[in-house]
Amino acid sequence: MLLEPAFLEKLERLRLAARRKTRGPVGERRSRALGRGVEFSDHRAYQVGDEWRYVDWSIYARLDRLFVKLFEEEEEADVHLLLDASASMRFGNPPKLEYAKRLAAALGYVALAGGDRVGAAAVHGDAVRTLPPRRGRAHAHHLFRFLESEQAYGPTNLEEAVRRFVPRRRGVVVALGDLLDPNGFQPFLRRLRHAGLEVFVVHLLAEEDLAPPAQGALRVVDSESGESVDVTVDARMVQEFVLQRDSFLEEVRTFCARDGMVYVRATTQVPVEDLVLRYLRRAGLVT
Amino acid sequence: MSFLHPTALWWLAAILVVVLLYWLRPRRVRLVVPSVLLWRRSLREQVRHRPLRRFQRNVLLLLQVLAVAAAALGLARPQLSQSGQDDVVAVVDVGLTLQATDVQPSRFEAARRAAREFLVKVPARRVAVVTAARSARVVQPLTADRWQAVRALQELQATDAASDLEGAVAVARSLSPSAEVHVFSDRAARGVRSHVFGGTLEDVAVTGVVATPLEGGRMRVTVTVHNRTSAPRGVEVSVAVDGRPAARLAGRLAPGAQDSWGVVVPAGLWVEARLSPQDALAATDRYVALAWQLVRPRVLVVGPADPFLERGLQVVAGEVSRQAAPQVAGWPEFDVVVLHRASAPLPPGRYLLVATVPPNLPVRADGEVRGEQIRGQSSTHPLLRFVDLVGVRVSRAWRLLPRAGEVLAEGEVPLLWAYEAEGVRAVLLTFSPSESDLGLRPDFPILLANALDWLAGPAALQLEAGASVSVPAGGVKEAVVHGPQGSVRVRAAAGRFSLPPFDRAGLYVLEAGGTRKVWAVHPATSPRRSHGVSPSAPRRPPGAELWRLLLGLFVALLVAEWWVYRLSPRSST
Repeated sequence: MLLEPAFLEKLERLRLAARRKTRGPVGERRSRALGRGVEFSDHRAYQVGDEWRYVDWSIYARLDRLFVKLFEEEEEADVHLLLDASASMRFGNPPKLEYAKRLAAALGYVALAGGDRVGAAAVHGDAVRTLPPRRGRAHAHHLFRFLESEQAYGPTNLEEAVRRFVPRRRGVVVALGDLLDPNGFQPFLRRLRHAGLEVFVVHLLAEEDLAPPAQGALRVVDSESGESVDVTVDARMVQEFVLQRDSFLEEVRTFCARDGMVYVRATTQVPVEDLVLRYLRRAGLVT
Repeated sequence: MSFLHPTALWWLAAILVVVLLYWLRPRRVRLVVPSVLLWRRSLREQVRHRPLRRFQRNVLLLLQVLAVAAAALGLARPQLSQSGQDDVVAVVDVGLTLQATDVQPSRFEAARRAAREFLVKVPARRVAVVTAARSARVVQPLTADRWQAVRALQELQATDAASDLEGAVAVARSLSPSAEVHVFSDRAARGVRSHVFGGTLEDVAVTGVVATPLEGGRMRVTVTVHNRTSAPRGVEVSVAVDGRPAARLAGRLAPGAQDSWGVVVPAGLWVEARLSPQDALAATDRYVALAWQLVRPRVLVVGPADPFLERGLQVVAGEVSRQAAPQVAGWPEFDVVVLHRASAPLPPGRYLLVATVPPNLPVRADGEVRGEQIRGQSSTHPLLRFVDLVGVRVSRAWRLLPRAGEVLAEGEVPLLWAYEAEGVRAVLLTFSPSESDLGLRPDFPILLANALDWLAGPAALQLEAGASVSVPAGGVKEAVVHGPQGSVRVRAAAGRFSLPPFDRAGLYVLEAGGTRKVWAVHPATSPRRSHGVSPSAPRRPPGAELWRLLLGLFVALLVAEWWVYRLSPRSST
């Protein structure tokens, strides 16, 4: 069981927030853009081609000028949950992948509860295992089963995986992973952005990613590629590592901010419930 | 290129130690991490599996190996020849130990062969060959014809003499101050390039044989044997008298010990001791010595007897004959003729003149003096070695007026005079011992012994190999020397026979006129001879020394190693 019933109850009260207009059939989620919905939003001057049925005749009667009524569109969004399931996600306590699975389940449940179509994809190297987007609470069961069956293995090659993961419809993508891609995280996120998706990045880190786990003469071996690096970890090396780590995290944050992505960083030490109910809400990912 | 201290090249073995330590270094703890992305960023992209990284991993080892090699080469003091601009002198050791056969066919042959190859190939303008034995000999002065030098090498023979390598190097350098000197020996010489053949020599040697006469036609022979090995040795010594086996001695010697054994044998002229079993240095297993009676000279006393003179000569001379009146014809048979108050023209020969002044010497007597006393004497002449004549009172003596020669002792007038010229060697005492208190003094027999030594040659006829001997010719123009290597004719020069060095051990007999002189030559008892003076350094280096360059390289390699280590401070140790 990925999520406890009590937590699911709390999730019922949340909605996934998209900041941009989506183009799909009407759903339960309210867009901030103007369109053809049921709830009045504003007026604008009539233009040739506007449908007569949206003309506000009462204003015409008072002002003798044609105005059309504008409504907030209530559109449904495709929410894509993209999990990095490479071998590096095995690390952490709890493991980063387990954490990501619970978080994806929670966000997916929120989206399904909001009437959105929710799909999922797990990336192992350049291979992608997908769950097509579906609407309705009943889909939560499929989603949870899909997530539960995921194991961490294979290298990280996010950009190549995204080439294969091309959503047919625009929507929201929530990328969950450690972004420790030897080819860099930028091409991966840039490709998502160029696909017209609204990108939410949840950067998951374990303790092993944040500090050298031991001191002395080490041969550190990459869990994915098997590459090894001989290092002698002393105070100076720790200092250098922390410097590089902070530089890397700042690089990710700056990149996301510049490209209009929502970026949230979390360690696996933070309970998923706290992350969703407090930090993601604060970041604007859920409302 | 050659090396001043080639043995230092053994330090190159330290490279193996460095490599061994590299392989035995503490292994790193293997730690699997999610990703080495951040580690790589920290280590500036030092990834282990890349070929370049694999090379970098070994850079430190390579630098360490190079540093050790540079240090070892520097310690060996390499030198570069100046491409044919210099003189090169080959010093070939022909000393006793070079006869050792622990190097096949012998150390000497190996050294000579190497010297020959060296002289053929060395890029020098001129070459020379000097041999090192008891004394150095220039067997080939500097020449541009190196085949001449090779021929000189071919004629060399090993000797039984001690080796004065340092002296030979000094002689080599005296040939040309800028000469590049190469020593071919079984040991290294300081300050020159040495080509060494053979190692520590395990040798048991006979180092002494003394024959002392006893009553009843017998003599006691004492043989000394030295064990110069690192293990106890049982030895057996065969003693022969005049070539006939006389006794056998056996004993056991501790490592480094020297012991003597005595045996009584029938009297003879010479004694030979031979050691068995033979070892790698056979030359030291045989020792020849003369019996005591041969050593002393044969003396003819001409003129009236003097009791002090008679008694003294009986003590210090071997055989004393008498002649009442001078009969010159028989004198060449004696080593020394003593004329006491008997005057005659002296033919070439050796004379002790007592209270008489011969007419044909550059000296004359101007009457007599009485009540004389010796007040001064020569302090350097060998005649007065261990003799103090000052204070000797003389009741009557000739008043001597010398025109040549040397006055050795005098009071108011010369009292002791020595002369050597035109084949005549003479000592003149102007008074009779019985007319002074000299005969009562212990200095008198010593003076007589010194006089006979000086006149007839050294009394000590037991010589070490390599010794050179010069004996008075006594009027004889030519002599023959019979030795272990055959017979050699020698001609008198300036009244003396200068004999070739006695390089090999054995009996040497000089036959000159009617006289015979015998020497017993034994091998050097100490294989190495040193005057305690190291050869002077050359005035300018014969070749470019590379040790400074190598020292600089060594330091540079250490700096480079440090730099590489700093460059990848945490990527490897």
